[in-house]
Amino acid sequence: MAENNRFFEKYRTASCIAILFWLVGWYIKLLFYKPYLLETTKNFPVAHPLFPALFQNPDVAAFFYFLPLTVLPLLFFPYRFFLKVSSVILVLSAAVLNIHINTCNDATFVTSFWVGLWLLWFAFTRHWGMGSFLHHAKRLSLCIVGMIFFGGFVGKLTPEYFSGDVMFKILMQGGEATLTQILMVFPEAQRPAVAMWLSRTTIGTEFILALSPFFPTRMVLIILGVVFFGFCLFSTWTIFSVLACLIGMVWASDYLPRERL
Amino acid sequence: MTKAFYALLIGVTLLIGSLSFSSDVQMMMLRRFHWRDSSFVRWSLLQCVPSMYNFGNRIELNPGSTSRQMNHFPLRAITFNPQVRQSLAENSGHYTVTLSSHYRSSTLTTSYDLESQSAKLIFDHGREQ
Repeated sequence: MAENNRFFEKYRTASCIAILFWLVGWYIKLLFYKPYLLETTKNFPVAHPLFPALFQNPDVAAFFYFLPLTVLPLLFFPYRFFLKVSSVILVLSAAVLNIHINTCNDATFVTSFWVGLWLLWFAFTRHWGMGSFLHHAKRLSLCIVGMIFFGGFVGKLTPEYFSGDVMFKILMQGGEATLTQILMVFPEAQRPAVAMWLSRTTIGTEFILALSPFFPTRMVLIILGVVFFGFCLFSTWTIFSVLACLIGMVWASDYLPRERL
Repeated sequence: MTKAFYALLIGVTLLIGSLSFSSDVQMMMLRRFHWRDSSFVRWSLLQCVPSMYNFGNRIELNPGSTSRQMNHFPLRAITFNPQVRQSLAENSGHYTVTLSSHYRSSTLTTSYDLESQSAKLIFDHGREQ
């Protein structure tokens, strides 16, 4: 009985960690999204023939952006029933914003969608409470991280990224403010070479994270943390909107016991 | 449920892997970036595929702006930028938007007619060049 209680306690805390990080990542760009979804998209709507009317409606995007706030009570009452309801809300919100004309180009909703699916599995799986549950919770979280960074890695396997040409042009436009300032410290003739090494470092980091399924959860957690702080230092803290849910998911799976207690 | 989840992850990973050598997959993913898919359902499913900073993407807006390099989804330079969106919507007129994305041996160039009327931005179906 005491062992069961310890398992439930760990399970609930892990759920809270995953959901808290998911919410922090989702709302970390609130200062941008609140006026954008409540004013800009309503006052200046965009129409494109690819999208059905529902997914061009500004109210739909605003509703599903704020809907995840309803899962906040779970953090105080982390019972499995609430986790089931919450995971459905989180997946649905991310899925809708992934295909809505006003939000579909933000990678935040892609990573949130996959972590939402993991939470859905975490809440509903029939392996729940068994030894295999702990194994699959960790393995699935690492596979998700691996797949997401594999997507970034393969998309850059092109000469423009290896040569640093794409990175150089983005930085020269001031697209990544701090990195642009760093680039400007170097003499003009050396800037393309610096951009090349920045580009190759990005590709290399994504390759390492694409191998996450072969690493222990703790190691992946540390690498994700280093990547996040690297971005904060050299680029932008808003990258947390993309990484937070991944960090929370891996942390939650790492927090679970190694074997059934 | 667990096996289905693994299968889904493996399927998406294989699709991503095939991007590096299949020109069909390359064009499919480039069209996704340009909102050029003929099926909204297929485009929606592809939206689950992670693609941060993929491809070399450029956007050009005429009249009024120079060409810009974008990290992904080049149309975001207009739709996801409140200042640009407001500025275009408040100045009624006709614009041409040209998108160009390149990945290995595949290139997609799309030209859109963009109408700004009554504070609304309306894209046409677009043409591949």
